[in-house]
Amino acid sequence: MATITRVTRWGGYPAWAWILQAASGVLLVVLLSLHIIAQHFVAPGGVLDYGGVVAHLRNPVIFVLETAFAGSVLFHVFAGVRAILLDLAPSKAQERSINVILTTLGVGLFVYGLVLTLVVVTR
Amino acid sequence: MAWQVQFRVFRSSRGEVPAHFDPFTVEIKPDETVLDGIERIWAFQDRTLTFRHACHHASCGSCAMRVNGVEKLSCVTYIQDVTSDGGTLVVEPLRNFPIVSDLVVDVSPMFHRMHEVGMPIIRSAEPLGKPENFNCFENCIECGMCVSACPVMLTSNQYLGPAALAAAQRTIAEPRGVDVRSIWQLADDENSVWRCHTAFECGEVCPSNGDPAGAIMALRRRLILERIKSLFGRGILARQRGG
Amino acid sequence: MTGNGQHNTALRWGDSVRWFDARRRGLGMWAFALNRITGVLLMIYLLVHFVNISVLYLGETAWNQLMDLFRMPPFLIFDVALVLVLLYHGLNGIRLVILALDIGVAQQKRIFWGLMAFGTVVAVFTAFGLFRG
Ligand code: SF4
Repeated sequence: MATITRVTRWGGYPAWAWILQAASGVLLVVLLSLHIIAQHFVAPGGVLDYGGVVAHLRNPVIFVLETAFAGSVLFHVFAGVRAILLDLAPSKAQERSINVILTTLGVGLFVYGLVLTLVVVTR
Repeated sequence: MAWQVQFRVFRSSRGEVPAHFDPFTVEIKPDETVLDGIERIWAFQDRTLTFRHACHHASCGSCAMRVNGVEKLSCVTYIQDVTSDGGTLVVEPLRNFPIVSDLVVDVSPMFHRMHEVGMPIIRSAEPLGKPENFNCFENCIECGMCVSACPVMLTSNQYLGPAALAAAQRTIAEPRGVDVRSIWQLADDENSVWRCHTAFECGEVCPSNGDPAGAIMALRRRLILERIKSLFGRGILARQRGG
Repeated sequence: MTGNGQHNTALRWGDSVRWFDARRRGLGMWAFALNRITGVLLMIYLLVHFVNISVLYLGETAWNQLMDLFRMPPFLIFDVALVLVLLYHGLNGIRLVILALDIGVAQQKRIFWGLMAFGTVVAVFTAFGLFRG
């Protein structure tokens, strides 16, 4: 009988990275369709001009939708970038920096977007 | 009617000859094979050319090489299918293996991995129940062409690789005494099932319908379902936590 | 990772980016390479989009001027290109999820072309919609 000599990383973390990337992708197909439909068909007169955008974002349903959209798109994008970077064969230390930098960027942009939206809708 | 074909053959010898291409003009009939041409070069032009072959009929897998950039079993690759009269053939060793000399690579990394996943050497001469099993992995001739073709293999020499992953799936399907839990563990690794980018190059070049990509997808489906089950404390992965 | 299954070739930079080269390779390889190229393009677009929505902060005049700019034909062409890239990445992504659930693996090429045909139809409709109004 064969013996297993390889030391494996066994914490489910690569599995979840893959599963969440796929799940956020599927979610994005739905949310992006809603995002486009909401911007072009629901908002009266479209959302191109300033007043239109603000009125649109003041709608709580739209606000939740756009926030979910931003969250999943940022996750999907940065997890994708990570996958590409990991294919450049980084060392473990480099991989950790990649994780830290990308997570910071993703969370940072999410918070930035959220604050921007809140500032615009409340003034 | 013989054709004139220029073979541009990759040459290198570990530590001695730096990698380069040597041109050889060969008279060869269109229905002869690439291996015929290589043997003729060795016989009449350059006795130092090294290459591997044995059976000459696509069952040993040792003459696998890259012909014009694509993995082929050179013994069954006809000249007329890969070039024309007066044309050129670029012949290189497989990628993703250490080169020993000229067209010879060290395939032992793949065989070690086959061992790790339980070495399911079961031929289709002993079919196992369901008809869909007849066309499965026992037909692998361990040629290494899928390993050479795989783009993920190019990015990481730690990747388990298509042949070994397909073998893992085979062992799981029919363990014959191997400890399947450790194979799941191996498959669930960052350098196994989750690394595959689904480019299907393995199946594209496999000479014996091994369908490694299909096997990886089967493993992936099962692992996704088991992961979700493990959230509720069920399934094979839950029992293993911490182990 | 240790163990005797390890390849002992040193990995060079060239090896690490050659996965990108789909020449003379099959459909699946092209689909994969394009998936990454479109992914990178979409990442760049997302970052630019963050900059452009920041103009909302500058107030009504600035934003409306920007929108007038975006309504010009060169930007409409950009919009069509964006739709194409999104459709490719999204539809191929759906294919990857379907395949990961071990559905239609033997039919992967047909699934690809089927989804691309659907994408073409959607793209044509969207392009008409964009240029009409
Ligand atoms: S799976 Fe196919 S290509 Fe890969 S080693 Fe086996 S026979 Fe060769």
